[in-house]
Amino acid sequence: MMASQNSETETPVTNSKIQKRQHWLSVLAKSPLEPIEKVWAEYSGFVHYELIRPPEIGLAMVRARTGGTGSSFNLGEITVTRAAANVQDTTGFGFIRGRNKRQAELMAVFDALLQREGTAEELMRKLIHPLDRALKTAADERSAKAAATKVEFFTMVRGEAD
Amino acid sequence: MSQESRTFTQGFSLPAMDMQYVFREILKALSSPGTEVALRKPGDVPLLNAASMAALLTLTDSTTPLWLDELTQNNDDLHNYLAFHCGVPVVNEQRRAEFAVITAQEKRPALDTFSLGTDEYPDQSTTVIVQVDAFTGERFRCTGPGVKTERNFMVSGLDADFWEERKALMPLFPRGVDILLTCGHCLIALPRTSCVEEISRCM
Repeated sequence: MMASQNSETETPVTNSKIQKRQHWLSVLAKSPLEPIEKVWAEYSGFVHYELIRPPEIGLAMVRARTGGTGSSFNLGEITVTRAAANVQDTTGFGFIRGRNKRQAELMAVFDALLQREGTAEELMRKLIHPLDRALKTAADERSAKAAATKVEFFTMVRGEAD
Repeated sequence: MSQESRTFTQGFSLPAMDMQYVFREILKALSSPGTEVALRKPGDVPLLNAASMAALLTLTDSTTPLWLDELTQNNDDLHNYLAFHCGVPVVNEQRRAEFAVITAQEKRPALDTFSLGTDEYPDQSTTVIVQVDAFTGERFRCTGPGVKTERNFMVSGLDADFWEERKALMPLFPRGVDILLTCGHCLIALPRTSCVEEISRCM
């Protein structure tokens, strides 16, 4: 939402800022709730936030292209949960796939905290990096499992008579 | 120049419930003109009064162009608030607007500069939200559909021109503009069919 609005006046500095934010939002959206909740337990005592958009569930249309190149078509609808929270004067947003209201809420709060200088670095270390590693390990495991079942097809080189 | 992320403030605390409540109250106000109804207050509202914002939150979305008067046109906080909670497009031409907000009487455009709709589609007219000083002061008599005999209400902060302009639009029915008067978190509706006469001016 915010990234698209100042796309014309973007400098490389804001660009990397936006990429960083996209990264942590992506990590928070894909991770399971428990580890996020665990880190929140450390902060809940002193971080006060105001929900300016309480978590709400809606639908989003997923569009796709056949073979990645064909013309796009509507693949189907997925449920999306969104929330927005203010931590002092910083607004954070949470958009996740599925219907987990709690996760959307916490994501919005952490997005706000990650934008604030006082808490950003610590949270990157405590929350985002471990979650990112866990996501990567899971992805690697999945692809290793898939790779183990890979079937190699050998084709005899056909000797063309010359 | 790096643009820091903007701060937004809260709308309704229970969006679905509050909007339904406000919608019902506005419906009630429109069906019995001259009756004062109380709306739910949204959170920190920039610039406008609570009733105007409650009405905008409830009635507007991305398909209803909104016109703002000179005082409110250039306020970033208000624009952010409306963009975040309603997604409403703000337009500069009164004729294109489906909703309009007037906060100051001095620089108010004439009522006939808004969209009056057409004979085929009178619903395409602009609904004008007018913020007034108080629902006390000058006394008015309201007659017409939705009023059995007559109904009195009080408003202060509207000039005589306003009532003249409104009267001049009445023969154009079904074309015309519907007016929502707001003050604090209260609202009085004057649909285009209501006939309003001034009874007395309070000292």
